[in-house]
Amino acid sequence: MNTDDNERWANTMLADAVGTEPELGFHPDDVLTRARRDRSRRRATITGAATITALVATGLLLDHGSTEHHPIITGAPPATETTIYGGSGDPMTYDAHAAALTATLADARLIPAGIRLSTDTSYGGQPLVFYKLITGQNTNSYYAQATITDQHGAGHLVIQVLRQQTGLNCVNAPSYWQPCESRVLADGVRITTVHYAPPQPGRPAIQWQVEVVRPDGTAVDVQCGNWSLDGNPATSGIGHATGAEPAIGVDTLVQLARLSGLRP
Amino acid sequence: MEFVRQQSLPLRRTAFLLCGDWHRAEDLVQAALVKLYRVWSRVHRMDQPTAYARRVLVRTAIDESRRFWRRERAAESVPDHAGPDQDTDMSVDLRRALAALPARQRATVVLRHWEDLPVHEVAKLLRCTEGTVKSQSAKALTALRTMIDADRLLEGYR
Repeated sequence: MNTDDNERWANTMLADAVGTEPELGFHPDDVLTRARRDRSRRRATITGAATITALVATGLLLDHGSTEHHPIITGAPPATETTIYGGSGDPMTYDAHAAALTATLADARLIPAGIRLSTDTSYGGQPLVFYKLITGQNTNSYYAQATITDQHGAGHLVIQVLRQQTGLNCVNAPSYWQPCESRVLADGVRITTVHYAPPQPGRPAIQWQVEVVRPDGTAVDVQCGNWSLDGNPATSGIGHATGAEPAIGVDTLVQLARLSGLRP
Repeated sequence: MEFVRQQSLPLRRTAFLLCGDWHRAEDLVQAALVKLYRVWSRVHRMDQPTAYARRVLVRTAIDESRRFWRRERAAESVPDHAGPDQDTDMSVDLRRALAALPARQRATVVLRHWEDLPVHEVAKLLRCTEGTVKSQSAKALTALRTMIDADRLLEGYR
């Protein structure tokens, strides 16, 4: 196949991949309204950024997981609601509920000893501190992230507390969700665990995903993988998997996802 | 406003090829347009604001692909319009193959062969060398050919 054939093949393939195109699901007016609101928020955030810098410097102390202690998050939450911008420019708010979620997570002391925590720069914010997302698909959900480093190297941990979720479906799961298991507990809580191993050459990238969906539809989604998103292209990303498995095991992730205080 | 109205659909097609999901594609386009708005006073004086918008979109898509946001969408809130269910098995297979590519390889293929951009523009957009664009594109196409069922290829693409 020559170059022209190759290009024709690729173009045809992409056109077919688009398939049936649905109607546009948003209105240009809505985008502009959102853009104006975003600009206003960014202006207001200049003050907020100074606040959170002072907060981190003085109060929000992170013990980065010595071999003797579990990582601990202490310190008072900011007195006022503070908005920061995450790794890709998304605004997120550290509010009173975010502080409560952060305390719940810290008090549970589930992060194994010996794990060092740092910021996952792709998401942004302080490690294992919850923030409320105020734009995008997950608006009004809360998330916390960390790059977790053990003796094998760096991986990621992302926790999301969601307002409404219908649940993962193992029936039509891709072949690389192996295993994918769901069970419903006596109180109606549905727990799904997925071992995610996308096909790729080299060291396998592995991620555990644990989802807890409560009868009221609120959910906690925990993802822990053996590659980091620390922003350094030489060491992070799916091509830089470390260790045979993520640093935190699935049983601990289930415990974490089931913390009763993690509610939106 | 006119720019948003004219470019939303083409940008969404590109976003869809980058991420494989119409809803997420719309999120990406809206996020890119919001970012564009911040610098619109400078961008709209450019000869090709569309090219700039595309650049913002691709950067947003690559950034987003590195993260693992969980979609929050209750079944009853899904818009009632055409979706993947109405697509052929072939287009689903093609999307699955595209999705299996690393994000930058996928972006290279989409920009080179969907947007029809020359190598030097793709390199500029992805902040890499022209050699990298060529090698990534070749690798991606080889991988796609391997992944896509050979019988379907024979029937539909040769």
